[in-house]
Amino acid sequence: MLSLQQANKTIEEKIKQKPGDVDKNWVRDILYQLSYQDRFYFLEKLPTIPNMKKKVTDDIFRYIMSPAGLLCEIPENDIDNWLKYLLFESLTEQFNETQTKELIKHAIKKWPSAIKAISTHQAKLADPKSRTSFYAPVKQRNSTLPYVCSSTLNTFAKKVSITSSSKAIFIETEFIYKGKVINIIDSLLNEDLGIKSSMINIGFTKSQVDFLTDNAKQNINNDNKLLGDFPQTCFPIDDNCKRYLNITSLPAIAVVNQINLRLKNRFIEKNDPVFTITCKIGGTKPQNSGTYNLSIGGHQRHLRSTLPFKRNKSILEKSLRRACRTKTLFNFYIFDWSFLEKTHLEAKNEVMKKFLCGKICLILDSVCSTYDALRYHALWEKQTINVYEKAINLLDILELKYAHSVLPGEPLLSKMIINKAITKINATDKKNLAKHIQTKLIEGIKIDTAAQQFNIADLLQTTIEKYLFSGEVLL
Amino acid sequence: MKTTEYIHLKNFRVLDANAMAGFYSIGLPAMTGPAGFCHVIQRFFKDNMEWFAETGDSVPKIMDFMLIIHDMQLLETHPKYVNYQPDSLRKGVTAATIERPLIHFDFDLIMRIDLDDALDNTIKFYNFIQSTIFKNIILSLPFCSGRLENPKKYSAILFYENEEKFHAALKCISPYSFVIEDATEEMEELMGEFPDNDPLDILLSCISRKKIIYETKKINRTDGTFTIEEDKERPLPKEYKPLYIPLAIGYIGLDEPFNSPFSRFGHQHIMAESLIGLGRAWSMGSYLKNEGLNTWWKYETDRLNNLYLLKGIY
Repeated sequence: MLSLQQANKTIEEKIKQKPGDVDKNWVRDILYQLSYQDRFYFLEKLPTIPNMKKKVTDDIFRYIMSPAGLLCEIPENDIDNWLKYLLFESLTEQFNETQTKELIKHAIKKWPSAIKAISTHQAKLADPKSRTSFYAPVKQRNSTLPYVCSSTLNTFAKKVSITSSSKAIFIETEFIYKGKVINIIDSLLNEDLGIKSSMINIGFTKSQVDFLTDNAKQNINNDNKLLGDFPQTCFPIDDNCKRYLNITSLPAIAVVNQINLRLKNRFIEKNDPVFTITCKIGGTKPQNSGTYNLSIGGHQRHLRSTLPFKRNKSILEKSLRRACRTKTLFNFYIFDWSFLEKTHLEAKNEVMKKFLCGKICLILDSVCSTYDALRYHALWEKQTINVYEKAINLLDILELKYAHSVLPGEPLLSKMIINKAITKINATDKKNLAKHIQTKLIEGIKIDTAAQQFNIADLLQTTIEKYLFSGEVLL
Repeated sequence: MKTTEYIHLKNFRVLDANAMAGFYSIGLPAMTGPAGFCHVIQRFFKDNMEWFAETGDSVPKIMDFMLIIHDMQLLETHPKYVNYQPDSLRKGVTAATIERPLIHFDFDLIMRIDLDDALDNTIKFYNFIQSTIFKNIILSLPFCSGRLENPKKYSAILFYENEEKFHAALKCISPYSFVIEDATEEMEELMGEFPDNDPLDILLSCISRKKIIYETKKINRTDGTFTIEEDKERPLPKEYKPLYIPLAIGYIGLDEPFNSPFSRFGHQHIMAESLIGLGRAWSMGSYLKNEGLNTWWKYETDRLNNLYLLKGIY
């Protein structure tokens, strides 16, 4: 046990050695070595010490009032004043100024560790909607379960729970009375402790006390809300569904930290990223919801558990986004020639000339790249009919009898079908096939100069070979 | 005599379901959602079907369920209004918003039921399930904290007496939909193989699908040929590969801190942490071709490890 003088000396010496840098950890260590009554006087002098930051003192005050802090031992004589003090903390309107001063004086002498930094947190406590957070340690438990949770990751798990402000102080604050750690509601439920009589001495009526005892359980369960929107879930224990467990889900920050770290390492070291979805927490001020959240910047990464569906064909999008969807013109006329007979085709050739010129690129799209297709489009503008026949020949070569049944507006699908057809052919025969396609295509095109023919032949060979031996086909 | 029979909710849709199953994953809702839905229906049977009690037979009991998803749409950043009131503009109070991810999906839910073999009761039960009253009751219930809808005219509630009829009905479902299966067995095996790794390491490698794949392709660009090298010890079928996803499967009870107000009243209220396991998603086509897949889910309690989880039946 240290005395006050010794404690003050040690602090002053340490501040002389390192002015401006005061750790709250070693201040806390000193505080533990003092007696209960000396602790308050020690804390009272802390802000007066030069070069002492206000944050350090505030943190220590908070720590004392946290559940990991200190508990007050209350003798049997003093319990009336203790209850008054708790009421003062929770409901300030019931007392006058003179009464409050007396109460505070009494509290300073008797229960210094229970005093809060009233000036800083008064406004927050008065608002019933405001919440304060605190950390409470949970026992570490190693296990070999095949699930991801705080116990299997071998991390020191910290539980985050949140209490409501003003009513919770009256209900929750614990104290040692007759050798037991109790709340007020515990004491009301246990009639042996005799706190009911002292409640009536303060000013409560009998009906009020009975009302409190009746609704003690309900008040606790209703008033204490948990972080965010995590709903409560009921689980049946029996097979007959008579008994339930009311489970409240809590996030473990240790697990969140581990997930973020390992995702980062996986991306950097192994080059093996995992797709995630970020959610923002804490609004514009992420520091309000915790120090760890500040380090992330409020962007929390979650593991993605989705299934791959084809967006184009989805029923949901059609129904939900029908209004805001813009439809594109489909290029299905080329494949869907089944409705036109040959006689009709000849009659409509002149009308469809311009129309076809754009659409032929589609077939070439499926065979070559778009860049090359545009090149040929410039060449074939005058000779649409021949090229169309060649295109059909190409489809015949690849045994695409059902090409016209391809869905409209999806060049990818036509590509897929051609892919399938090509994969059936052996790899050794692909060069022959490329030449075959080349000759079939060039036959229809009437070109005057030999140089042009040579160029086109080269281009076609290169593009078709590229397509046939590219990785896309093989995969 | 008891027989196993099936109730099939076909082509239903959920809107605005909670996509945040736990604090660690986003996407599919937790498997506790459909389990709770089945449990609510069972309680409805227990309360409202008096004819079973008159004859002395036991009330039909939902043993387990199976979830098939046809389509889903994830709304990642869809703000939801909180504390919204119609007078908020007049009062000058603006409504706060929360960025809460939501999900819409189309699904089939198949429930396996134990029924007593009394003829009168089964006929009544069969008629009741196919009535519009039961359909309206189901549509009024929440599913995964979202609302159910009946989007199509051909969505129906069906009743199968045999296993054969059930298998025949599965073949009518589109092959692009997915069946979800539990993969804790595989997780346990991998943890035995790599004892140094945590379950989180193994889960991440499963999701990224690099470590778990047992075959590797090598492509020669010059010749256009490719070879496949396989592990002969653990071959996987090439054609029917599942897709691994993280799933929120249940809860693990925590040791309570000494100050927690919930611990005062015994076991009624328990602090718990949400728990992630591994799930497999099979496309319906591969599910029908593979044999021996059990995609039924059931809840279990493990008192030793303090677990409350949903598990596949093996």
